[in-house]
Amino acid sequence: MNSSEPVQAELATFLALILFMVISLGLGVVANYMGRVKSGFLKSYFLGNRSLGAFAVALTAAVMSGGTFLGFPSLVYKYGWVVGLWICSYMVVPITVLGVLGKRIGQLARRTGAITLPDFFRERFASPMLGLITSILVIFFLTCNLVAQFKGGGLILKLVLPQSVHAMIGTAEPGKSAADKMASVAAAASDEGVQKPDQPAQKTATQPEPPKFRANTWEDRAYVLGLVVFSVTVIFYTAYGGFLAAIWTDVFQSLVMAVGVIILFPLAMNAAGSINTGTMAGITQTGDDSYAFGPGAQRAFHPIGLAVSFFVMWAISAMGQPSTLVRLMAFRDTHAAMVHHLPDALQSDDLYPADHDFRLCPANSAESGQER
Amino acid sequence: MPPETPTPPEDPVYINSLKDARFGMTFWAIATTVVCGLSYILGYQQSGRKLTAADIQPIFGIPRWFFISVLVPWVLCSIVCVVYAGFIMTDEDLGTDHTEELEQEIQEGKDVHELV
Repeated sequence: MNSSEPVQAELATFLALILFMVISLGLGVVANYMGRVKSGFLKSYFLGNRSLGAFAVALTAAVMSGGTFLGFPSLVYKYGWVVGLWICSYMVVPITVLGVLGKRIGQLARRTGAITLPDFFRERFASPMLGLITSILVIFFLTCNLVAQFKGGGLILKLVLPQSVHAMIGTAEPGKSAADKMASVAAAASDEGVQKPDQPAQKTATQPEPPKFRANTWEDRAYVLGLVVFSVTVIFYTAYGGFLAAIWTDVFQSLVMAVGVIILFPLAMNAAGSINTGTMAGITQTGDDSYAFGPGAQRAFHPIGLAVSFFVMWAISAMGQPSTLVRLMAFRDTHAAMVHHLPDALQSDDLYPADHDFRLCPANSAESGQER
Repeated sequence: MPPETPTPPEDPVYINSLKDARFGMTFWAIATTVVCGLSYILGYQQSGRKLTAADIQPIFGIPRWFFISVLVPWVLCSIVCVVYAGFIMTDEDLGTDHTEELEQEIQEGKDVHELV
């Protein structure tokens, strides 16, 4: 197949997503059933009976976010290799989180019988007011965080809607393939685009116009549909299955991501030629050698002072995230928490660098397509 | 003379957690210094030193600075994490879980002040 032909993979992508959502919902139902079998509703619903094993602790990190799927790739496309330094402090996250907080949080949660984070602070410091303040802070900051996650989910679902659904709701864009739509996301995520204003793009006669990004507003019916489907799915399996459902779907998503990277990495390498060819294509497209260096192409995206700050942000301050702390309250025993370092290390060692590398390759594929 | 308060026995979980925390924070400080330091020296544009495409010098297709400053430390960190967790960190008894008591008190409708 000529690589310049549009990839019409919408139906397969859509079916894969439907399957993914059905499995997530199914995990919620099974988790609900498991919770009923064991005694103690609160402990079961909110903490999965404190039964998280090593793999569950390792694969349920709070990195499965809109940032992982949309933000990080767009930064790689735009600024290049320095984004690897931006994310790399995850290399020390397992040891800082477990070393500094792990055992003590697990111990104090059991000693106080705490089920939620506000419980924990209220019981540990014997202060109902502190529990209340914790609740308010958690609700406020997680709401801000979740707005971005739900928007990301709605956007992804909008992109994989097949043309027939777009036609049904009156948002069809004739001739737009899944590949075109994914390119829209990259363009949208980049607020300035990768081309300098004073360096016009080197277009050939056969190169199509880049797809225009449509703002995701309430008037955009495809986006609203995606947002509704995403929200209903996530809220259902979380509310119905409780903590265990959230953990199982996290593990499931991690495994899907790992398999996806394992499959896509060689395919991307094959399409691009090599990682270095992808780097050179990135330099050509941005017109800036700094695509391969720090602090990044086009502008100082990640100066070295910020790099140090990100080591503090990812590895130190992120350990206090409610989603991380509640997992520390829920691990089965310290052995599980200790053993989780192995899958965690494998995950962080393979997923992010491989993800980063193959993100660089489609840029080169597009370049090759233009040359042909 | 007031009677002496008996010193409670030291909690082994607390002692070992403190040791783990010290190791974790030291390890973090070293990793931050090495990764950011090497990245700045090898891979950052600096005044008076303009890096160009010729300076990429790829290793397995990856720019040399990134391979040395980020990927190698990443692999080493993961090895250290696994070794520390597997062979140095101690397994602890985290004590009795009192969640059932709290749940029972909530079901009986006890006031939160009574719980504290």
